[in-house]
Amino acid sequence: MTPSQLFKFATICIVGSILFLALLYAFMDKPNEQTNGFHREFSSTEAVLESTLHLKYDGYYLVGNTENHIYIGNISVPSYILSTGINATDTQSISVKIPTTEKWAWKSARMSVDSPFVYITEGITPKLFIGNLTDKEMVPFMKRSSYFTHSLNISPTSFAVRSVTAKTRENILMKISLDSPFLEKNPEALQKQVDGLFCTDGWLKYDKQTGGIVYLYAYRNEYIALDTNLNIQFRANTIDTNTTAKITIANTTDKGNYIFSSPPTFVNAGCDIYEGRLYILSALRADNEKKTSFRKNNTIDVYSIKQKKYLGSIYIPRYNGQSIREFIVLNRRIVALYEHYLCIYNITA
Amino acid sequence: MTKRWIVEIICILFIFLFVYTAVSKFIDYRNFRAIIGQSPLITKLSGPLSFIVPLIEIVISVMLCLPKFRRWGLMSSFILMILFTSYIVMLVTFSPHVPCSCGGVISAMSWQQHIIFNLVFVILALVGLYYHDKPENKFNKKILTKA
Repeated sequence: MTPSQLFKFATICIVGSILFLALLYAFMDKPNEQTNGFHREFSSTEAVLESTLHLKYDGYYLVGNTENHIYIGNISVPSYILSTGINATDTQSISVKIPTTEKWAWKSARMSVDSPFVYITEGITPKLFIGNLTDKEMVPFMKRSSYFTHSLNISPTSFAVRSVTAKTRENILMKISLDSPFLEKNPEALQKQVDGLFCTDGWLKYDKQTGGIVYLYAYRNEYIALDTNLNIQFRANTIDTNTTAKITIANTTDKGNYIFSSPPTFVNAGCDIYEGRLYILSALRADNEKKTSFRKNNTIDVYSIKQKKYLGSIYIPRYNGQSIREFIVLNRRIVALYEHYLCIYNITA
Repeated sequence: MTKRWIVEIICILFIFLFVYTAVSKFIDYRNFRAIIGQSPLITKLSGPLSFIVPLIEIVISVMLCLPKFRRWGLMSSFILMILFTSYIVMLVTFSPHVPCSCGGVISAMSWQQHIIFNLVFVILALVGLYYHDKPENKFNKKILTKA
């Protein structure tokens, strides 16, 4: 080909390709462009950014808090705790000692701090350790635990966990305890809608003050209130209208490998419980919300758990345009964890 | 003579690339189909695309083997590489967490490496088209005109 023919050919191809992709983009489902069928009420509560802590590395996650301190762990170093004051000052690094005599799946280990207790759990072997912030020596305990994927500490002698049933490969909530009965299952709590594993995904949270546990689904508008024995107290709905998980799962190998086969519609993106109220980080835009406001802010819907009532919503301005990955509510503040920042917002009426 | 060698090597590289990725897509067909379904841009076409893309790659490889269709093969290779590269750029701009589904070692590359890898092949296709000039026809023409 001559250079001029080549140039014409290349230009036509590039332009054609861009047009084709623009066409695909035009026909793409953009989840928060259309209406979702519900309204939000924004009170006069404004979230004001008070302090920020820069986190240099990847893999940080929230592990606990006291009235004045926030504890942050890192998935790469299971023995590490970063403690910071409520003003993002007075940061300290704490290292606990984990006995290394046995093999365990330390890459899957997760920490939980309920001052002065420190817990490190890993549900694959499984292995659980208990220690405290004073002597920092972790000791193995709960040797009669079973396999689990997520654990929530509810007392120094028990955990609420999410596990997977062996036969049907579905999520199930269980309680593991130091004393007999060591294992209690509640197979009715999580209800299958699509596949039993992805569709029941969500978050387990514990409210120390009321002694209640809440499980919030990620892909549907429902949360379950349970007591510390995992008895279901009631099921309640959130304000949006997605009662069924809009996800599709494909079986990709005969050995039981399952993955999403279409972009899942997230309904909820995280939550926290504080003083009887459920704070939900939402992934969906309400009909009365401006698209620009939704994009600039993280939206948190507040519910009274006991009254099963929606109380209102708060906007938390995005930091550097990012979405909050997880958060805790502490007094009149929201402590939000982004990819590399911990931001503390003050919410005053 | 070197011109011919350059074109030969470029064609061989493309044949290797397309056969490798087409076969790895065919072998892991269900996985490939689900993964391209995860991308919001092409999720609606994931069924047909999961079959058409590897098929086109094989067809182009065959075209590159046959001297008569080599020019078409190189042109199609260019178009395909431009499409793949623009698709990656769109993916990275809009949804950086969607996994790559090219198959094999290519999936292990970072997005930057993948884009550079693709651009190298785009340039190779252009170079191949520039140097490819059907030497047999010219030779035949000379013989006929002499007689």
